[in-house]
Amino acid sequence: MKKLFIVLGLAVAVGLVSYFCCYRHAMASVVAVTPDGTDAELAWLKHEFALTPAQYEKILALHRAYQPVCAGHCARYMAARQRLETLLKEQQGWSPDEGAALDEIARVRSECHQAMLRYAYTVAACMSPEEGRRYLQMIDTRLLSGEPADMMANPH
Amino acid sequence: MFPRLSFSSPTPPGSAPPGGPNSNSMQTDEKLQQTLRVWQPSPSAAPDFNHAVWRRVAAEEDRGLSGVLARLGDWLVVQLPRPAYASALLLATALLGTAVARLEASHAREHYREQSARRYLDSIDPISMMESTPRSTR
Repeated sequence: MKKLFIVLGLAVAVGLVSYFCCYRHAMASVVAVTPDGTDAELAWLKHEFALTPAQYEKILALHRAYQPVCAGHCARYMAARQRLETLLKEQQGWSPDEGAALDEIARVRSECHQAMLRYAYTVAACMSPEEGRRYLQMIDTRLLSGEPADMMANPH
Repeated sequence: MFPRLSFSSPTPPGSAPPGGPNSNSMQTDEKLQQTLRVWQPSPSAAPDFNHAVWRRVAAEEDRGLSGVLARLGDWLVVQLPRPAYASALLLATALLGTAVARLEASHAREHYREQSARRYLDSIDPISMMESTPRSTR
């Protein structure tokens, strides 16, 4: 009976060790935080689109230059939304101010999407042609449907 | 199993009884009836009768669930610790652990890819993210 328990204990230990080793090895490519402190999504972009170090550096610089522009659009959009919400709460009927707020929201959204598309084309140009096409497909899907579903159905 | 009966004729064959053929037959019948009345069968069991009965009882027990469990328990205690079976068990658990880890890692990687893609797109297009999140009503 003692031998049986020893064998069973060994079997459990071997199973657990093989599980953890294999899981760790399989998840080695999954990076939550990059060593240089950049966001994890850029590390994912590097892995997903097989970027070379030179391509990654270019895209990282583009991304950092785009962030303030994006933040500016975001701030303008939030302000326009806030203004519209205030008007809708305060007024009981239609007013030109509400129309102006809606126009401002649409204008900011359009400018934001135009800037994003310019950024995306520049980023895609840094990639290999095939990966660039796949990247732009992801952006197009996001613009049209809001989700990156098509890109995820075609894994790298 | 029944003992073989043998009857000896009260008169030798061929000798005519004094009362003729019919009286001889009647006498034989009476003797037969008398013999049958007093006859007590005393069968003797086959030599391996008891052994055969116990063998059949054991076979019936083996066919039941308890028999299977008992044999499995015996096998686990006696056979499994032997090097050949123990090695096979360790190999099987190692393969099982590896297979489960690969499956779970595959699901985790897929989830990570989806989340990372969504985070990246949110970082370059926050307006779409804000518009897609539910807002409080007026």
